[in-house]
Amino acid sequence: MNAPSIAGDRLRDAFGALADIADTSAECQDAGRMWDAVTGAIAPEEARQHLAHAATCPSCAAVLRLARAAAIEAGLHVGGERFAVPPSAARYRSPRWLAAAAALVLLAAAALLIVHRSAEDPWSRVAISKAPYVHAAEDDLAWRNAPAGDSLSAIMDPYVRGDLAAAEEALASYLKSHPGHPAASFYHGVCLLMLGRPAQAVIDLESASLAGDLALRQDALWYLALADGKTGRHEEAIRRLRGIAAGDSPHGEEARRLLSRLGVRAPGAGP
Amino acid sequence: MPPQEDGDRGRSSVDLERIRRVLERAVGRACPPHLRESIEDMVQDALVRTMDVLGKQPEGGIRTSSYLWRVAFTTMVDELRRSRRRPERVTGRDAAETAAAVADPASLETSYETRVEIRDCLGRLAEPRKLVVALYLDGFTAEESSRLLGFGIRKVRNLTFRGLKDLRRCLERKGIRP
Repeated sequence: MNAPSIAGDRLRDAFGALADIADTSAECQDAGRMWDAVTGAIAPEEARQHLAHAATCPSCAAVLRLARAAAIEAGLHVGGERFAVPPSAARYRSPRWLAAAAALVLLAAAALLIVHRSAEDPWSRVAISKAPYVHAAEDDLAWRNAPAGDSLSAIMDPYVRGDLAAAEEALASYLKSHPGHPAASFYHGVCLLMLGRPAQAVIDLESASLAGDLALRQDALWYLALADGKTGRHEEAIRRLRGIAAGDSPHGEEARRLLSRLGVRAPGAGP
Repeated sequence: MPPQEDGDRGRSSVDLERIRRVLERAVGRACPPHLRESIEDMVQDALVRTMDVLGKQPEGGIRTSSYLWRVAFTTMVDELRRSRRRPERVTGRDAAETAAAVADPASLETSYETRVEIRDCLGRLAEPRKLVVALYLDGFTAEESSRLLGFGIRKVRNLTFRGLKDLRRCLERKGIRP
């Protein structure tokens, strides 16, 4: 008998194709929890439970693939900010005295770190520089609802001069008549952030981070990470910074430097 | 003209418009091709869900884009599941095989039974191997699986290698040559 053959990558295709014909069962996982598992919002132990179900449930496997695709589109780091356990830790057993000494050193380091961090919020010392005005021309062309002559460039003089209060006012007014304009949202967010209003900056920067061209989105994600950090959402900020550092953003080097200053290991950094 | 306020929440219509645009972007980018006709409905549904949360939680809860993406994602999954339950849908085996044949006539070689056998063999693997092989087959990279599962990268690669070997052996026993 000639056995049917499914070679190489077609194993993947055949595996995925089954999801098209599967129905959801009572045991199927809540989609929100699957999203949380993929974006690292829940602990690996809990994530493993959801993923184990998806391994044998074609319907949930389809949801899992959709979650991965959506997380990548959203610019999130698949698996979150968790990083792998060094392989040597699992493979070799150290002598007990060495493990005890290492634990003591770690405890001392952790105590020093806690004392140091409680003395001052490191984010309070993070300086924010103004984004250069480079996005408007292309964005004006792309903005379909903008009437002729009603361009963003016409109101950006205060921003270019560095008069951020006036620029913020002008951009807020512009956004009322052009809600969601990507570049206007971005520069409005930057103004708010530099004026010390990071919580208000977040929604504009988020809007910009999901709109416009790639360069605008990359810039918006960088400032969004800074806004998150300044508003106390440190985990979210670090997750974004790691995503920026790991990708091909022009802010990658800045993100790695900032992570280093914050005492956080950047993706791909040495031990 | 000042923006309109929506009652006691005090959220301006401009803000709502921005949230809507974020949801539109999220659904538009991540939506599977066969659900494209329902994009407007899904955006509206996601917006209603967001407004519902707004009524129950402090405003800060919806201010992160990852939250809005989560809402968009769950809305898409609900639509995906609804679309599968619709009576006009062609029955499972016919739909899969017809679609596969149209896309690639050679794919008929990987029949419905073969796909079921792959799932069956996968289900027989030891738990950690099953997890990493399933993620591998779902398109996750080793680094992503490592972060998701909390395993070291070397462990993930070893489990994938050994798990795929087990999977192929199981399929061979069933008369399928991977």
